[in-house]
Amino acid sequence: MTDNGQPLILIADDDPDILALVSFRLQKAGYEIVQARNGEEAVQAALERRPDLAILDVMMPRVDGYEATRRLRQHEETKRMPVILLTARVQEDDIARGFDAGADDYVKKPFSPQELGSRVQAVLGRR
Amino acid sequence: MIRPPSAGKPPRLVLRFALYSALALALAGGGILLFVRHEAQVQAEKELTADATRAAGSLSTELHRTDLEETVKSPARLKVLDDLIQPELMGGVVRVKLWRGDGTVTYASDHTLIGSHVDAEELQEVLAGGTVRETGRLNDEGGQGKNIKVISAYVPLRLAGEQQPRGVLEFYNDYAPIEAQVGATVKPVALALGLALVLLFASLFPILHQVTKALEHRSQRLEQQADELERTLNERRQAVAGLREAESRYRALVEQLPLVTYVSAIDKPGFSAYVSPQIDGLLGYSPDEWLATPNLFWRVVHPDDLERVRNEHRTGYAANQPFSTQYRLIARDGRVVWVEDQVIVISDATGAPVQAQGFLLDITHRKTAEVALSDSEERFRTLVANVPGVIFRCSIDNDWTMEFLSDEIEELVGYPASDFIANEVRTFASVIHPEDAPVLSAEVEAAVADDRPYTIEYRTAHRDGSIRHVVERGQAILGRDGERKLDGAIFDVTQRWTAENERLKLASIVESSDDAIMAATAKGHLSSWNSGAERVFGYTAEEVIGKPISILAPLDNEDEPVLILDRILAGQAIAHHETVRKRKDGTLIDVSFTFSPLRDVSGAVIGASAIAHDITERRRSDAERERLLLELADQNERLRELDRLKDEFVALVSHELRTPLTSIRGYLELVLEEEAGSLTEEQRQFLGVVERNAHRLLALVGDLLFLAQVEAGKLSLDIGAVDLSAIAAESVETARPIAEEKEVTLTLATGPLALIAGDHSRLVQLLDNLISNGVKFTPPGGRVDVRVKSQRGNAVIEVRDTGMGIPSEEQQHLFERFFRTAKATEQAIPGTGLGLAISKAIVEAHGGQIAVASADGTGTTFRISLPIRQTQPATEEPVEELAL
Repeated sequence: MTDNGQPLILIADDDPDILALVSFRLQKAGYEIVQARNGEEAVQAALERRPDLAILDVMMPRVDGYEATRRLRQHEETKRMPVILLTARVQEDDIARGFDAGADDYVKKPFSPQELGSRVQAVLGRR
Repeated sequence: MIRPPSAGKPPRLVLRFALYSALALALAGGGILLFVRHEAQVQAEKELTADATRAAGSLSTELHRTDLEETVKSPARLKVLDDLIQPELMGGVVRVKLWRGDGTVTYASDHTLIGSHVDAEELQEVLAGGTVRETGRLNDEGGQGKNIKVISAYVPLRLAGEQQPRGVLEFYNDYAPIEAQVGATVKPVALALGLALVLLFASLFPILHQVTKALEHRSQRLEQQADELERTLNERRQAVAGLREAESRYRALVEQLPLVTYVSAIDKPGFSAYVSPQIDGLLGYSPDEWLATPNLFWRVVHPDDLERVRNEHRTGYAANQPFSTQYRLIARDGRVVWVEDQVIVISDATGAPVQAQGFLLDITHRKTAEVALSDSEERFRTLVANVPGVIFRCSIDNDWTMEFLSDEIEELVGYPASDFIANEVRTFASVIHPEDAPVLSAEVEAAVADDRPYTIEYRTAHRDGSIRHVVERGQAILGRDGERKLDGAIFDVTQRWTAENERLKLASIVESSDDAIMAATAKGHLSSWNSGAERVFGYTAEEVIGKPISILAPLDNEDEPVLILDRILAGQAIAHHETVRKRKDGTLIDVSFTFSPLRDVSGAVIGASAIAHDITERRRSDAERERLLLELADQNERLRELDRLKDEFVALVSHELRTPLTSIRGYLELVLEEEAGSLTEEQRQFLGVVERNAHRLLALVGDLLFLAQVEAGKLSLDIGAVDLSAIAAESVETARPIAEEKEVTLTLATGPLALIAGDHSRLVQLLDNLISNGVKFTPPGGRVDVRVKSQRGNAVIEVRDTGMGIPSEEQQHLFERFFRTAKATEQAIPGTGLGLAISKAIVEAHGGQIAVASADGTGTTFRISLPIRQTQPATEEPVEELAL
């Protein structure tokens, strides 16, 4: 939760267009945003800023979304942080891998920004 | 033979006498001669010694010491000495020498001898004061001149005033005067002796001659007597030899006759005087043994005949007549020998029988034959009963009327022999197979005509209806009543016939077999060879029968057949033995053998049989198959690899396509929501086109990914209870705007249908596909009818359109990926060719079936049937058709 009382959302994607798109949509919806360009940055940002939610792209260079999720779950501070994975890989075992890593939800690419917004709301509301 | 001295000898006696007399006279003459010579020589030597001694005396004053101490060399001295010692002047000697005591000649009348040295022992004797004489040759110690025979004398040489001789003087004188003196003495003596000899002969010769004559006469007489004696002796010898020859001839004759000759004394009963050696062959006793053993004869007579033979002999002797009798004797080895005994009785001057001469003839064979003859009738009956066949005598008529028929007939035809005798109950013709009867008649008729035996095979019928094969042998004979009859025998050969048939059948099976079938003897020689074997190995039967089995073996494995044969002979069978054999043309072939022992009736192994199958082709095709399988596996591996690459590619592509599409759609959405400012109507319309196409692209990516999943076998269904009717309604509604736009009538008819187990979203996709397809391919004014119903436990969905239809040749490809019909392509109807492939995959994943029925130009119907897994009563009711 940020100073102004808005939830803080971490968004990580190596595609700057998507990063911008998602950020724009969620900012419009009134969330505070912190961006990361890869898994390593995402974990670092999460530990520093303690966001209320992380949206992680699966296919990222160096540390991918699965690995980032796994690392977040290893830290006490981020252990319970909700994680939504963005994935273009929609085969069964890909989804299963995501849940195994500790993700709370996943959104298939291509997704509608609106749909993503409602997922975010749902995950935050669940808490 | 000793001969008296010959008559010509007396003159030789005279000659010998004359010779001896001459020899005696010659010896006497010789003795006188030697005596005279000796006397002459001694005289001559004495004279020579005296001459030498005289000369030595005269020289003692003339000679210097040096003449006897050193060889005289100076010519002056030599001249002095030569003048002093002139041999001619010294009694006519031929040579003079002066010797030094050590044997050196210091001077010689022959100068060449001066200085010569001879070890003459005589010198020492002479130096001691004696004298020595010799005979020899002048040049025995060297020198010149004629080497005449000489006598020599050595005398000591003393110098004047000296007692001791200082040297030796030697004189040589010619021997010839001595010989001349001897010759003069001998001549008168020889003349006297010769005269004496002649006188002796003249007085003795007449006496000698007379004596010789007397002797000659005497010796002639002696010679005559000796010749006579000789002649007489020879005659005697010849007579004796002739006698012996005759005797041995008769004896040989007697002893070679095939009978025993004997002589026995009647007054000494049981004692034989002579028996010929054949007794040994007849009874096993040697003649010596026979003669030495009293009463042996009576002991070997058969006990049953003994009394009779005694009586016959006694009667025969009493009658004094030759007689003959027959009886049995028992040989040493127990044989019973029948003999005929022919006896001649010899009487003495008073007429009393003294000797029996006779012979024993071996008649055993004759007797045996007689006995056999008497038994023959009985034997005939027994034999006939024992013959394993029917013996008969019949008339040569149409009925074969039987005169005799052995009981064996009952075995053959089931009726007793008595039935046939004289055609009592039935004729023999009635049991002959009708087809064979004419042949039998014809053969018998021909044989009778030729008067030869015949053999014929025919069939007879048994009472039980079975047919027997028989062989009949027979011959016509002249019966006692003068009628010609048929004698013969009939043998049942049914078994043999059957066996032969069986054998022929087997043989033809063997012969026609494709496999090589052969047999070998225990010694390893091929004994049978079928045409299959000819094909497989290339040899004809004629070429291999009798050859060793090793001819079929390749060179590097020549022993194998023999090793196998050994195992077979040990009773082992070997099946499916695969090995290599060599054909006649040398090529090697792969064969599979099955070997078994061949046994004779007793079960003993007498050889081996082999069945060989040429598996060269099979081996080759096995290898080919192996190779193809490997190739296939290889290809599969490559295909799998390609497939994996394709899957990776599809996954990558879909990801790489989705990410930009996400951006496109996301930003479009923002723009269309006027988050970036308000839009004009035209802008909104254009952006709508972009969005639609982005959506199409996305759908395509989704379809590709779906199919990749299906093919990877990774399609999984999210199964739940699904209401197909609801899904159909939903899909129809989805398609409705497009249908209306195209002026296509779209209807849905649903019957009562249970919920089925299925994946909701996949089934939606399926129905969307089919309905949108129908609409797409139906021209304006047409219709698309969708029906959902329950049928025989299945949920059935039908989508029927009135579209352009699908030609039947295209229908089979309809469900393939990327397949598009020719018309769809021609008319540029949009589509990827993936829809039906996906539909089929979804249906099959649900365990259902999809089928298409279409006629070109009149429309197409897709029919899907899915099993209803969740049981719920489903009644088939009339489908309610609803226009939607």
